[in-house]
Amino acid sequence: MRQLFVSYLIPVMLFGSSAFAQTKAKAQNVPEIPYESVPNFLKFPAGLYLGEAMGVATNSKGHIFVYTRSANTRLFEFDQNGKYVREIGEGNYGFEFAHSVRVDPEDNIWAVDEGTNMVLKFNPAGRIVMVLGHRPDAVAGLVAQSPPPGAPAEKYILGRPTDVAWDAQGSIFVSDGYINHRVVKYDKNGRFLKKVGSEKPGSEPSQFNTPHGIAVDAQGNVYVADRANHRMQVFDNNLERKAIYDNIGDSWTVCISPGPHQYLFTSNSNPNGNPPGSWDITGEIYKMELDGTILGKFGHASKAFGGFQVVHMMDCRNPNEIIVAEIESWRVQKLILKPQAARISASR
Amino acid sequence: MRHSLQVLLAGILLSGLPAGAQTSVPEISFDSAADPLKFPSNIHLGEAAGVATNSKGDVFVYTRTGHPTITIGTARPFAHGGSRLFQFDRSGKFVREIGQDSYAFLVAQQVRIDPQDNIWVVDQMSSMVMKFDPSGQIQLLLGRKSEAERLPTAAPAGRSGGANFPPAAQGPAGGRGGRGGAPGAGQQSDVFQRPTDVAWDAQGNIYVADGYGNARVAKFDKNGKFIKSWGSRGTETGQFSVVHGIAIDAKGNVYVADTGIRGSKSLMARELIRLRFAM
Repeated sequence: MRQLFVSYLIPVMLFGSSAFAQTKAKAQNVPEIPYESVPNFLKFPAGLYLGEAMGVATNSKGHIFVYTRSANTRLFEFDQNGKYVREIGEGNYGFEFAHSVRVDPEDNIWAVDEGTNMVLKFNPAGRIVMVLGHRPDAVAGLVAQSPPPGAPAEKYILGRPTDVAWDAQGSIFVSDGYINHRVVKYDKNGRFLKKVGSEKPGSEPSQFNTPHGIAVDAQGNVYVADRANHRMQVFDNNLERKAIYDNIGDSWTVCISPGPHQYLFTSNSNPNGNPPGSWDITGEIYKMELDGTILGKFGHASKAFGGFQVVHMMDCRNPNEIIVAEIESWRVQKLILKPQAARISASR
Repeated sequence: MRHSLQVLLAGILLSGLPAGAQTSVPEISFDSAADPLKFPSNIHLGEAAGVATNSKGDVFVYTRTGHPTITIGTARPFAHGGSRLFQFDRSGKFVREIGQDSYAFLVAQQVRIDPQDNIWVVDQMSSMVMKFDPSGQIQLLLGRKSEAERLPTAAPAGRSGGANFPPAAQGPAGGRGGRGGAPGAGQQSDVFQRPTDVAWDAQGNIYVADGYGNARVAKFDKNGKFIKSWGSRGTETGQFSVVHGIAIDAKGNVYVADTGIRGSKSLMARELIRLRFAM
């Protein structure tokens, strides 16, 4: 028994070797946007629990979809009042380790799973209608890295993908991910069109180090949360680089609101593990114009209700009602912003 | 059960130490109630790792049961299941299960009830401390489960009962796992390494016994903000071997059970370690 205990210490020592650093945003004098968190936002039936809240998204009716790592990875739907509606995709082959959920303009639900390397498209009824990527085969997948580290990235094999977005034509953009470091563009039927980045991480323009989130604006421009490069990169619809926003800390996730005046949101999430001092310099979400002008920020790292514990994803269908999914508090919060208090900052 | 016994044993031995000048310990006689917990026919207790009562006398049991499972994804094994939390009323009647299919219920270690009847669960292998409110909703989480596990291999010849873990495959992780850092270094964060127990002082500050991997006690404020850490692995004053249990008296004194790898069981009790049956 004792020896068992000792040997268990070994993985303990080896784990967490590739910690992401925490980064204080360069932007200065950014106005704080006041907000309130809605109490008891999501109502769970007895016996149903969220695990790590990885993905959150709303559809056109305001229904909320949460992709979570509980004992098994699961996808839940709630109505606009936070009442539980149903579970989607229970037990399907593409669910292993949740990362992102997004809802497209036709209310299809897209789940990105970094345990199966798959992107799944569910129609509004909850049936799978398209898959991208391939799950490593059972048994072989236990030891086989897929894709093999350093191997040239393949068109249709994803390496721990992180997020998905679409343009007005229905083209699909996948941020891919932890093993590959690229963004792939597919047509609406899933045919490979183009990529930027590669299987290797890099910090030059148009290279990525853990592209962790993606969003597309109404003009088809592509915004990529380039997390470990402490920046966001912006590309046109053809994946040609347009801009880099590097004053917003570690861009963990991005969200763009719909409507005639679109806003861009990004989270400088506090790092996992809450290292000393991290709460003082990380945890805030930035509200921006698409051109990178920072309008304000809100939120802070804390385990208490209303604070954030590693924001992993946001929904900003209503730019004044931000829904955040947090990893380390297993929590989804709805934030009501009071943006009238914010001024445009000249910090850029 | 075995763990409770260890703590019990340590306590008995401690009271009998020469340093305490007490040489004989009176035997406390007791009766054991037969069949104190009534289970539904489809629920079975496994290893009973933690037990606690709330102010109404309801009994909470955190047990290792069900089907601990490893699944495969991207050359990363994911651990699921293996422990459940049950509530019984004071007459032993089954009330409910709490935290079904929790992400962090892997290897049950301890359950404690605070003065407000919140239910605190410590899971040794997910390295998490979870606070449920009396209705069973999660209110606070400390620590983080590792995203994936490294599967152990058989122990080398000459050792028995052990398991070796292969070196970490290098590669970017999707956030740091729950057991990062060097074990026993008394790290200044809420990253636990196989924690064992939790207690609170009158101000609601949280003390975590951490544990098999780390050898420290970590203190957080009532909102879970890290305050400080005591101890590291070793045999010097202020060091621990395995921090296996913790309790706090009404004055805020902290009692730490330091079991672990010692030459003699009588050495379990050390100068700085005072153990009492405070709970």
